[in-house]
Amino acid sequence: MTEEQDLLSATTRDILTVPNTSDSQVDAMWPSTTWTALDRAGLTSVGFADPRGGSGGTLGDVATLVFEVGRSHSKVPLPETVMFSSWLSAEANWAWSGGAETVCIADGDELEIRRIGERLYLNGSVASVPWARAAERVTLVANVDGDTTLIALKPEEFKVQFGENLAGEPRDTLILESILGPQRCHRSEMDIELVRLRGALMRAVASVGAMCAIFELTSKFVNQREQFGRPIEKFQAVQHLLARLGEEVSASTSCVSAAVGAVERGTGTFEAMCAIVKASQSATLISRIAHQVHGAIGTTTEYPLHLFTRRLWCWKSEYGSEAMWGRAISNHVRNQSDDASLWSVLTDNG
Amino acid sequence: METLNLRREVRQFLEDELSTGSFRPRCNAWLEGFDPVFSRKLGEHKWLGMTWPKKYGGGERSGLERFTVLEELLAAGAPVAAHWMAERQTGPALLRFGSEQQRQRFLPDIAKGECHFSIGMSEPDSGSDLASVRTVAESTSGGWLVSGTKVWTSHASRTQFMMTLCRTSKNPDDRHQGLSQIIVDLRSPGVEVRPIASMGGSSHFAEVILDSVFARDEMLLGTEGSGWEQVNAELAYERSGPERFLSTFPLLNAMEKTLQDLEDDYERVRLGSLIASLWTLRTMSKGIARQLEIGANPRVDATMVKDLGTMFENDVVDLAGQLTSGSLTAGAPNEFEQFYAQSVIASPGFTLRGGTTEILRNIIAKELEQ
Repeated sequence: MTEEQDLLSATTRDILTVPNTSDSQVDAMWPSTTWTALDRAGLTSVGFADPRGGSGGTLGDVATLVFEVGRSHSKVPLPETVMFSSWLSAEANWAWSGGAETVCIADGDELEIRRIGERLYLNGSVASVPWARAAERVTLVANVDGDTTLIALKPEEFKVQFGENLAGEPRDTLILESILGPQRCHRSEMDIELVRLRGALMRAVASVGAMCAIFELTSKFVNQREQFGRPIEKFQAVQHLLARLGEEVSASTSCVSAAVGAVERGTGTFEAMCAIVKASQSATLISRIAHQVHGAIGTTTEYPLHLFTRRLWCWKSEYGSEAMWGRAISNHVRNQSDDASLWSVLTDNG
Repeated sequence: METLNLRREVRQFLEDELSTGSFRPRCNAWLEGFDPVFSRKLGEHKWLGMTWPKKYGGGERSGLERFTVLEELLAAGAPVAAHWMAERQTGPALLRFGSEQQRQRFLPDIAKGECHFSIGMSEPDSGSDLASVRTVAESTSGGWLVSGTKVWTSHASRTQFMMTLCRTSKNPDDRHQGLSQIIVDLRSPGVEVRPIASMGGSSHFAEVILDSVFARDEMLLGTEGSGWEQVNAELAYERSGPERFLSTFPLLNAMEKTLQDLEDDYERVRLGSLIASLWTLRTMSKGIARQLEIGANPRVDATMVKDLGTMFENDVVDLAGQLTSGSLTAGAPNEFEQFYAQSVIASPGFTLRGGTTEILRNIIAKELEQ
């Protein structure tokens, strides 16, 4: 991390650890106190280019924020707002909306998109949109007649049906019927799969944050919990579980941070896919081990472990399954030119 | 990208060697591919002892450059076992603890690929519990008389020297402090080497029986009684290198080629997941190489790489095993099956050598608790 990122991380952490991030329904609607604090610190527009009303910053800066949200189990739409910000700024030259944002890939059958001259007609629904209820702008990424198209929606243009994922995070359904002018639709050269890749990588970043938190919780627990007259960390069986947990946290931390660096340098497709799969594997193992070590208390709402494990289970699939990305890695290697081997793909970028 | 040209050079060299048939790629080659001629060629290219000072025959190049050469050799399944232990372990130990005389005597020859070492640690009654070694070195006029039995000492019948962990104190309470490292010349009178046949047909393992073998005073490494600390200092080098996750790379590579023509989804998903793990391990291992270079001792990270790396090597073997049908023989007609046969028979060793999985996890847990 750069010095600036250390500062970003500390600032975000301070705001997010203020105890107003409980799991209650009221806060789930809109965590206004936290959001205002983040906004005042300029964190809600990180990644949006400076001349376009944002705070500026690299993908690494964005990842720093997303990691902190994962580590603190905050229920706040900061990741959604910033995770595509640098891409939207550069690709569509879009300014920050001034509030929370969310981006979703609309490739389901429930939404009809038709071109009427220069305008777009949209009719139907889009499910599982993170934080649509709070967004100043919802960006739909869709394939319209073969072109990747970014469609900017204002809150008055859709209805929201509240929903949530297994971790209790807002995942709403948008219901819309509108006709949008050309200034709201941007045709892009970018492959939709790259948008999915960015989304999955950012969820991996958040997951690493949650993994670190789980590790902290678990190490504290094995030290305090006594059975048979001693802390359970004295038992070799428990020590080995802790070691495996630490290994997975370390592996995912390394590969996700290397992948973010590679994407930032513009070469990271293969690296990002690898990091997504590895973080997904780790998420499964870490949740399983942490719950095993904690025993029954870890499965209750009164103990905080579930705030992280439920998120890990949700985040690993939101932008494509582990199997899909695994297959994509195999295909990526197969699609190389004839003289390129698996080994050269692995070592191409140093 | 400073390593790009170097990588190209090594690849070109390997391609040339392959085309002249100087070696046949195999799995587990860093342990089983013993070829002094090949090692000497690497020495001629200045690819051994790359990071060492020039005055000792080294190249004063970066740890990352050395990492590049190592991984290229391993990925190609090249026969690097002859010099492996000397270059990986003995060299750095001599640089750290050795006398000027020892460095001058051994390092240039190791860098030439001509001086090979075995590592004499385990004994019949000392496996994971290394501090229980019983081989003794008794002080005598001008040197030491070393007696005891070492076991699982790879290639002892072919290397010239053995770095021997032994007891130099008679005080039985001195479990750790009483240990020292002595370089034993394996051609000395009193040395008997008995090869141990492995189930796969190879015989790199040996038992070394030392019966009052004389070693001169100047063959003591570092200080008397510091053997335990010295051995532990080697571990980060021993455990974090790319050989801990590339032993089965030739198999993975052959599997990738085989699966290209297959539309079976399950296998291609599993393959992608293995590639993701490999990329992660390589990222971690490179990170450790960088840390070692700036003088840090990333002991826990190194231990993690070894545990994760050897699990990965076994995962490769497992998937290959799921894809294999028909009679399994060492002389299988295609590369994939040959590599699979080599790997599966060597695989139990992956998680034993260099510290068993269980010992590694004890170490990791202890460090993580702090």
